[in-house]
Amino acid sequence: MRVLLKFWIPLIVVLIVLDFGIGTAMEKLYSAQTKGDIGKINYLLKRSDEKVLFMGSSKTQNGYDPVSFENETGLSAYNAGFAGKITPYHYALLELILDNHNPELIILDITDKDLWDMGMNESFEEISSLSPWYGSNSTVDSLLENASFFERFKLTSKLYPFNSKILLMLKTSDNFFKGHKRVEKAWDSDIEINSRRYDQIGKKRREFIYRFIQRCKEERIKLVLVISPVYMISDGSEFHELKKIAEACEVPVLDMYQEFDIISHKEYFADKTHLNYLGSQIFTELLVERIFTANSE
Amino acid sequence: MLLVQYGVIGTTYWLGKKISETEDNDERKRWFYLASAIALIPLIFFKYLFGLMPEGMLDDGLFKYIIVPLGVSYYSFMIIGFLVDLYNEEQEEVPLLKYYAAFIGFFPLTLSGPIERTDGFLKQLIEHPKFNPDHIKFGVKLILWGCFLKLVMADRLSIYVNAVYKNIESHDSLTLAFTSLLYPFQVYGDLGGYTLIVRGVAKLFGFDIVRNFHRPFMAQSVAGFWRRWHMSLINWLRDYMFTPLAFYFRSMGNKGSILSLVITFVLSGIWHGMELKYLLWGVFHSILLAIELLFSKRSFGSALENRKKVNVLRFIFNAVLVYVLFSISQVFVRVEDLTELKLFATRLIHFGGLYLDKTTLVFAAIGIFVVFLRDVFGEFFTTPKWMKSNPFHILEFSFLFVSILLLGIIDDSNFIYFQF
Repeated sequence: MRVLLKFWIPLIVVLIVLDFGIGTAMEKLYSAQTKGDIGKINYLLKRSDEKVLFMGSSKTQNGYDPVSFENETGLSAYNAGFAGKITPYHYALLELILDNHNPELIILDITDKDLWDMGMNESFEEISSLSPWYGSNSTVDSLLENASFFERFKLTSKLYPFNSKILLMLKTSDNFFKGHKRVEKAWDSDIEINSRRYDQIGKKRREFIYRFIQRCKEERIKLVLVISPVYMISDGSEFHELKKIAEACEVPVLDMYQEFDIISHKEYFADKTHLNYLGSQIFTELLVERIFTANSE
Repeated sequence: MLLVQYGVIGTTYWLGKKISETEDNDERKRWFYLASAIALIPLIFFKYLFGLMPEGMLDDGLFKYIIVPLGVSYYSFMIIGFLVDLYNEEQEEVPLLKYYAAFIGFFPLTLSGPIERTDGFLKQLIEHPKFNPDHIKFGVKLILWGCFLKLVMADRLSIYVNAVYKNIESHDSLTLAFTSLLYPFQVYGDLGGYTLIVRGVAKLFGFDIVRNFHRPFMAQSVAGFWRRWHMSLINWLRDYMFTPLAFYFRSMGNKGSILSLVITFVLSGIWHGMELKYLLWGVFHSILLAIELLFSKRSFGSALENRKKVNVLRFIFNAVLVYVLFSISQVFVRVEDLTELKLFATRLIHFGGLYLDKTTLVFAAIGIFVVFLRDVFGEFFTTPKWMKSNPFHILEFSFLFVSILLLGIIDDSNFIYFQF
């Protein structure tokens, strides 16, 4: 009993106070961040009002230039691509964005990782990077809670949502322009044949493509699925399933994976899979042409 | 998985009784060999024969339904230790089956040790420790430190180390050397953290489990290092392998000791797995130990015991040298196979910039710093009274709790030594 009073009860009180106190301080620091990925999320979920959003992975983040898009179309645009993320994350992010505003058009870039397992597990722990937003949207809450077995318990802590984020919260600079990461370096290796193995279906991540499409339809948001170019030779068979999904859901899909005007120029790429700043400008102009030609037809 | 363990426990218990009850020496010997062979069957069958099967064969037929039992390397050694002690009459009688089964099958020990001994854990099981509220406090403290080592240090380092080892061909000398220097800290955090968690869980029940690590990076010699690293395995090998071998080869003098060392460390390498890389690791360490034995005045790292006579610079130099040598040896273990080892060596002569993952390295550095500070403090200072007080413990627990939540990799990652 003495140990309980002298040690365990004070310890539990201190832990609760620390969890709440430091958690609250972290929340303030997180909300105030305007740079890097956190700054981008804060902008998207609190202040964005652009009519067009580009969503997807690092391929989107590097490859879609909102400034070129705005210049070509006169429509305000923002790059909501995040490195290392796949469809479950895009879907969760969409849910949170819709709490702030409804864009008119979403361009969702689909990569092979959105369709195939490729060594990534299906537990979607990457969604947990949105855990600071836990409690703000019931659909996202449920996704966060189910991201891994113990996630529901971890989320009872006010500190845990900021796990591993302290350096990002203290970031003072970035190279984002309207969410677009401008990479200047140019790739100097020769084009290769895509040697990635597509032998295991990413079943759950494919389900999230359906959910994403469904959600856009519910909100009457125009959606275009895009397969953007890579500096690799491929027959594109890894995207057959996407085309089937698009056809079944009656959503346009633009296959620019092997776009000759882009992949014949290695100077447009930063590496095998990512466009550089120059490439992103050329690609975005071409994309605008394709979207609006398709629409006018 | 459990059936195999229960089967071995039951059989070796019965055979242990035979060893204990038989008075005729030759018969006792026969029972002992039979029991030891049975204890080794799961280890040889699941760990080595499976490893030698051609690639793809395990995916076919009946083999695909066979699951390799976890921790087979650990409990096999515990059983053999028990049998040897029984045979040598250091363990006077066979305990009740419930104690023997609990000794071999105690859940925290089953997966990755530490390898317990009859005079330690088994004795405590029979004596039934009394409940003491301080056990809970000490147990939770060990668990928290274990989680810190694993989640804040080891798992964070694993992000960087795995990224480099996954892509050796894309990295150059500086990155590969840097990664090699980081890897021992990852293993220390991983197995050391696991052991602390095991000791903590056992302490909650009132049991004291043997230490597995004792500030290893403070070691002043390779032999001294092995008295601080994976101690339960090394002590087991010393008592049940090296000492009998050294006794057997005693007429050969130093050469006999070296031969015993080589055999012990080669077998220790093979204990990790039936692959050439582990064999090379064992040979590498036996060479280091042999050199030390032959040329060092303070053989077997007695420098540590005479530490007061060693100046600070000398201490740091020795510690760094041992650390670097151990880091080199760990490359053999970390690569997938000899082809990758060759690639690693080839890339080492390519000079280039250092791959930096700043976020990962900054977080890992915090973990390493805290663990290093703790080890340095433990090595050179005696714990003052105020550090044993409740307010200090509350501060310590809170620091660990907040650090783990803020800096730890809190996912479903596994422990490195589960594969052994």
